[in-house]
Amino acid sequence: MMEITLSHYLLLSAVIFTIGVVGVLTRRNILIIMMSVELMLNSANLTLIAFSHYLQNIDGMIFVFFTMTVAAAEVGVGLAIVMTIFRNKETLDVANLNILRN
Amino acid sequence: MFEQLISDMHVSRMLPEILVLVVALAAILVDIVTPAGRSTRPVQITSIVGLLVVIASTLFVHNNGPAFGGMVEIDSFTIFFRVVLTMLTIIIMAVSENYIQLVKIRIAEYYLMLLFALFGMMLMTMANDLLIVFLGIETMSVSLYALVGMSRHRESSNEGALKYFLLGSFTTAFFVYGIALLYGAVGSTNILDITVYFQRTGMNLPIIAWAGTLLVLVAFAFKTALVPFHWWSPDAYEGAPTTITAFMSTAPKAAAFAAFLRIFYVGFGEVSDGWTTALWWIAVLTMTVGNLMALRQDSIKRMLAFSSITHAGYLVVAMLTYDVIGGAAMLFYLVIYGFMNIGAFLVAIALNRNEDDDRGYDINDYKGLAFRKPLIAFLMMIFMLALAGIPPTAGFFGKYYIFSAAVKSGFIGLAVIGVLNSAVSVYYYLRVVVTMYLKERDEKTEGRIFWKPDMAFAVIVCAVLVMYFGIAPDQLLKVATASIGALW
Repeated sequence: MMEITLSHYLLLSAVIFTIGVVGVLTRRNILIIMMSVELMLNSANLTLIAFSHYLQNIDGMIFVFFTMTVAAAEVGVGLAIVMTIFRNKETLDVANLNILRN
Repeated sequence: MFEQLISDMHVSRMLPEILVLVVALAAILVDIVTPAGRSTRPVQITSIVGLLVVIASTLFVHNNGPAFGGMVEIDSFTIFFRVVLTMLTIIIMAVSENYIQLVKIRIAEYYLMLLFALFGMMLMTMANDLLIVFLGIETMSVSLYALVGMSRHRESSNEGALKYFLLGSFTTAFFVYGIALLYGAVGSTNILDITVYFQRTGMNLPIIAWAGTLLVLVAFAFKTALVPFHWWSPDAYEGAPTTITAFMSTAPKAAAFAAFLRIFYVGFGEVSDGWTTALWWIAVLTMTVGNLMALRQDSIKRMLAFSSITHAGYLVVAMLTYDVIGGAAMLFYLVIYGFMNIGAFLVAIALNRNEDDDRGYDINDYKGLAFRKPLIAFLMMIFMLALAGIPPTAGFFGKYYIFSAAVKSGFIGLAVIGVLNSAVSVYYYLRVVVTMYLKERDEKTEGRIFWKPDMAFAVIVCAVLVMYFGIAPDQLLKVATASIGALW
């Protein structure tokens, strides 16, 4: 059986990160965009853990705890913003948010 | 053993930051004991008095050095930004009470979010580890998302907050991924370790280190609203309550530039050839695009939003010189830009006819203002001249220092582009002055004027400072030079 090395983890997280970026750029539903951002953050976490294990250094794992905490706080505020939008406009489609234009 | 560990942390070096948190907690308590539905004036006064204590503790308690095992570094650079950021926050808080009553967002959380944002910004200015930079940016940003969306019944506020939030968290992901890649290359997130690593490798970096540096650069370009990563900022600025717009375009921008400076000057100094080239293009694009968009705006608020992009471009010009003169010019400009921009936004608030109507910032409302309200028109003229960089205001010296630093470092082409852009920007700033002084009064566009004593006081303070630093810039420049010196 093939051994799983650092580069496999890095490749996987790069692919997940790219999926997240594409998701943010192409999807129009706010919740899907937020999920794509979470994908990006988690791929970064995976990178950190992979390096942490490979370097035998604990810093990267500690960083992941902070990332997860911050992501949770961010989603908390983000969902509150989504709630206010839904109350006023009853839509979650970013294409309908176009008051602010040049 | 344990006592030794605690004393090695040097917690007392972070006294001002701890005080900001104490002030925030005190403000929460004050809000609880205030009867429901009453004014938030007690919270405001608690916050402002507390922040004055913070400034005093910064200025009079000298305790420099690293703290928390080198995670943060307290030096003259940190102290400079601590004072500037706290002062800008105090000005915004001082004018907020009447304004938030006007736009019906009078809740104590408004002040609390400002305090937490201030805490995050202070962390950013002292961060010596990418983890702390990350935490500082996030503490600041999450508070700002809430502040932008605070007028929750106004659709433009919702929309601005959402765009800011989505692009902000998108950026965060880039930042974390960049840090992860750098961590993989360096084996640490500490900026000093990164310096040592780059000294060893020089420009001969593995691809993950390049990618990490690039992603961190992109993240900072987002946070400081540099072209091509600026799309969120006009919308977030226009949607936000205007006091928050004034705040966002100055203090968080200064804090982001502070972290940007420390990471790139100290951490990535050895590979400066790489990032200065990238910043060269970013500076040119930022100045030009910001200007071209600002030219087309009829709304003062949106014009100022785009002009703040242009000013970020000038700051990048100073930054990419990568020497003490340029860095000092940058700090100088950050301070005076803070005062002139907040002043201009406050005048815009004073003339806003109706906050719920997003068209309340039309330039036609300024017709003949000089005959109706000579003092307000005069103050606005000072800010416009300062933003345009016309002597004897401080804006002139700010730009002069920046472009002469660029010339001294050999970026002559960039300086020429900067001066040309500055000349273009005179058009839209002077357009406001011309509208105020040379146009006939128009009864149709004349609305009420929201000119309360607190507002008048803050605007006059800003105007006096803008004029003072224009006549006697040496002192501030000396302080800025000493502060930036800490990074070498």
